[in-house]
This record gives sequence, structure tokens and C-alpha cells, in this order.
Amino acid sequence: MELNLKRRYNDLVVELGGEIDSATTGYLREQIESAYRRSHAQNLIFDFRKVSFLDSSAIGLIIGRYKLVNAMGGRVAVTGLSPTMDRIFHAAGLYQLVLKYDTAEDASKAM
Amino acid sequence: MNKDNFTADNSISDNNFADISMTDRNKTENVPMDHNAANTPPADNFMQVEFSALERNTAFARTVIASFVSLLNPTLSEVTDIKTAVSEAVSNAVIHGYCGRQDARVVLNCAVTGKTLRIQVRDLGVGIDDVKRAREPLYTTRPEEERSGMGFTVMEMLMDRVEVESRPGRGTVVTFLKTLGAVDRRG
Repeated sequence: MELNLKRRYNDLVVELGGEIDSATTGYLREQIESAYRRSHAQNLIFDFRKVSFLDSSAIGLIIGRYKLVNAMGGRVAVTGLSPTMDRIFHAAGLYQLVLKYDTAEDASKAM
Repeated sequence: MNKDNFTADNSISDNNFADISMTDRNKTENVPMDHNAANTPPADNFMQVEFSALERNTAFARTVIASFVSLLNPTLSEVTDIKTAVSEAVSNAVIHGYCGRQDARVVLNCAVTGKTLRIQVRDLGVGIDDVKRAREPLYTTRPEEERSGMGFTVMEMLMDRVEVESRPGRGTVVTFLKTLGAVDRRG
């Protein structure tokens, strides 16, 4: 499980890699939260391009961060999704809360 | 299912539940699910593993099921779907079934008949009081841990059929049916 955090304009881009399940979300949660607060970025962009596997624990991870970002007036986007990831997020109703783009670059430009 | 020699808690193979909550959503055909071992036709292939109820073993469970299923030449999408459903069920057993108990075990097994897989995740944990409610989307008993409550919804979406048997204090058995090579009707 890998994590890479980058600030781009008004956005914090969270590049994830490897496998995301309940064993790994705890660590990711802390890292992303503290980076978001420190960065003073407004928006949060998740990049799943290098993620080889995720289950519904990723949904909890995203929604938990959504609450914080939303409170700060920002938006959350998910990018780089595989077809199965898209189905899972769609089934969870995630797109009622977060935006979806093909790439993090697209997300940054649009948001 | 084979009543093989089993460590310590032999009953993990034997929990007999009268109440069954089933979903027929997404089923492609009516496959009878028979829990009487004597009436179950012998499978073409079978495996069973038992492991500690630790979150880190969720990844191990995914690897094991993917490896076993790969013998049938599934598509990448089918393997991903199966790994995801197993990951959900094993996570549930670890987090909800056993509530962090260190000494507990989870069982994963898979029977293959033709191109149809019957996968089970079994635990001897606290059980589910209200299975119907547990399967409702967004329902979780652990919101403070950022559990999304989507585990069963995901399982039902990815598998042909999901069956949950549980008794409070007696544990839980989640059974999936998945037939490989089915035509994708999602469009």
C-alpha cells in the first residue's frame, strides 16, 4: 500500500497505490487528514490509478475525508478508477457526494 | 462439504441454522442451496483454509481464493469480483464477528462444480441479530470506525447469489454462488 501526497493549486492530490482494505485504511486516514490540514488546500483529489485492489473500506475512507473537506468548503474527487471500482462507488451512492474524473489533472482543471 | 479434521473448534464446520436470509437479486438461474452435507453432490474441486481473524489476513484470503479460482481460467474482472466479495465477508468476520479477539479463526472454503463456485466464509463470532437489517445498504454497527455499511451491497452486486446464515452468539456463514463465463447483462 503506497501513498503519495501532492499539492497542486488549490488541491491536495492523494495518489494511492497497492491494496486498500480495512487493514490499510486506518493509516491512510491519519496521513491524509493531517496532510490536508497542513496543506491548507481546499479540495481533495483521490487518484486510484495505481491501486490494484479496493473493497468497501475505501468508501468509508473517502466519506470520512469528505466530511472534513466539505466543512472547509472544498470538494472531493475520485480519479483513475477501474470499472469494478466505479461499480462499487456507484452502488454506494458515492457520486452523490464526490466528483469523478478520468485523471487527477482533469479534476484539478475542473475544480 | 467434507467434515475434515479440524483444529480446536470443530463446530465451525457444523453450525446449523434454521433461519436463512437469501437474496435472489442478480441471480442468473435458480440454484438450489442445500446445507445437508449428505445431499450435496460431490464437487469437482474443493479447498478450505482456516486462519486467525486478523485484518492482515484479509489480503491472504484474497490471494488464496484468487489462486484457487484461477484454475478455471476466469477473466480478470471475475477474479477481481470474487476477491472483493471475499474481502468484504472476511473483513466482516474479523471486525464484526470477533470484535478484535485475537484467538479467533475464520474459515474460507470453495467448492467448484463445473463453472459454478460456492464460496463460504464462516466464523464463530457474535453473530448477527437482524440479518435483514445488516444487509441494508449503509447500515453499520461501527460508524465510529468509518465503516461504510456497504459490504453486503457490494457482495450482492458482484456475486450471483448471497446467502447469510447467523445466530447471535453462534457465528455467521456467508455463502456466495458465482458462475464463471456468464454473459454480462449489465450492458
